[in-house]
Amino acid sequence: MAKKLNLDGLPEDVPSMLPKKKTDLFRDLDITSDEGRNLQNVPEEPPTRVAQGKMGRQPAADPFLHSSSEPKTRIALGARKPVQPPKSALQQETAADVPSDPVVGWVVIIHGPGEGRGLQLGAGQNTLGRGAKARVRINFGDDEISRDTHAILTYDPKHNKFYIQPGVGVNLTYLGDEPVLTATPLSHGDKIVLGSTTLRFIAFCDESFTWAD
Amino acid sequence: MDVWADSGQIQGSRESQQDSYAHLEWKKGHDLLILTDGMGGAAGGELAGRIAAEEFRNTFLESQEENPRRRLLAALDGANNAIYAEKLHNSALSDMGTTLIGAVVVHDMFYWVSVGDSPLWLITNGQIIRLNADHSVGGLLDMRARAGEISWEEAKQSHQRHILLEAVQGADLEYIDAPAEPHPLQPGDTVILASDGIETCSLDELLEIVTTGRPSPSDIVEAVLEAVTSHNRPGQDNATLVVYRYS
Repeated sequence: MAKKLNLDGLPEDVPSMLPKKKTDLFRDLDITSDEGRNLQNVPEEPPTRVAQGKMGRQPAADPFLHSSSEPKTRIALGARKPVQPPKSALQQETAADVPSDPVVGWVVIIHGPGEGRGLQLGAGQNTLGRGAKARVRINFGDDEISRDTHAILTYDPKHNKFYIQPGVGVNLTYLGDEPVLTATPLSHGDKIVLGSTTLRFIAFCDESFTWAD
Repeated sequence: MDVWADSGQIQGSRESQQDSYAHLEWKKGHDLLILTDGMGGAAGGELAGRIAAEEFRNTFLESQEENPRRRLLAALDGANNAIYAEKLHNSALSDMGTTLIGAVVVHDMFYWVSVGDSPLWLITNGQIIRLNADHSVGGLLDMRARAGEISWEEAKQSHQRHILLEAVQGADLEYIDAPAEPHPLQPGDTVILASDGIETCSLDELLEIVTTGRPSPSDIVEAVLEAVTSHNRPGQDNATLVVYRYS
């Protein structure tokens, strides 16, 4: 049973900012991804301003400084006495992590940033990209890889076949020496190049094994 | 301490020191960094922070989890459960809780778990970036300002910034910052775990300290604490930092 927030004593505007489900707040805003994280340098924060002129006016507080020197307060979480041990954070994450789709293959980085890493592929469409939304995230420092969908690697379980096709954006994908301009069949051992990163495609499902067996 | 990390703290104007920290080489090439900022009255705050830091470390070291992220989450559970246990047999401490940042460096990959509003900063390529979520009303306001929903002035001037939305206090945790992917580190990068007392200094000041000359982690600790102190801020909170340099 999700704990209700005790909003007593909080100013009016705070409750309106809080989402209906506490767990959604930070996840939705995905502030731990590149998109949400403040990757710009300090300029995004307002510069310090000092009020000038009239007597009796307080100088504007440095907006970066906390306005209060009070010790931390926090929202009471209902019953103060613990009634049962807390839920395991690890188990909650485990439940979320359990793959609902088994591995069908891998792409292994054989050249470029992240070299040596193998990334798992699942059935259906696998978006390859640098950002958090990519199903197969290649985020080891190669900025030439598009954030969202640089390419799509598809496994068709019905026919037991793999394909690669281009994604959105300006960056090209190469299969061996040739640019991928449309959906192209993929074979075990093929080399795929995104930006400065070379991947070797390893098929797990093949003539001798599929998950339908 | 080794050249690659150092830490330090000041008490500020507070009656006690309620921040705790640790940094150790867990195994070769793997460094573990921990910081907690306790709260809940004179006795409770110090205890919560200390219990959490110690249990986090012990659980992490003893865990069978191979995956660094899962290991960090297991350690967080350990810390949370320890506070729960303490509260069970001491009802006077029912209010106590703590923020927590636990981070581990595995080769060039930086993993972390964070609850609360203690900042985790990365200084790289001449920039200072906050890596972790800010589980406070201030963090919420900043996100809204970043999204253009409110002005930065409104966000920064709010008197509610300090209100915490989550803490390690022996209860279910609904906000946990534990990103699915680690952050890759470049040689020369500096990571700082800090309690919010350090935020008496601006990001500009911190960036200046880290990027001027070639300060060692020890140099940085000393310079930052000095900078915090020199602000002579009334009611200065405990201020603690752990500085880690990846090379």
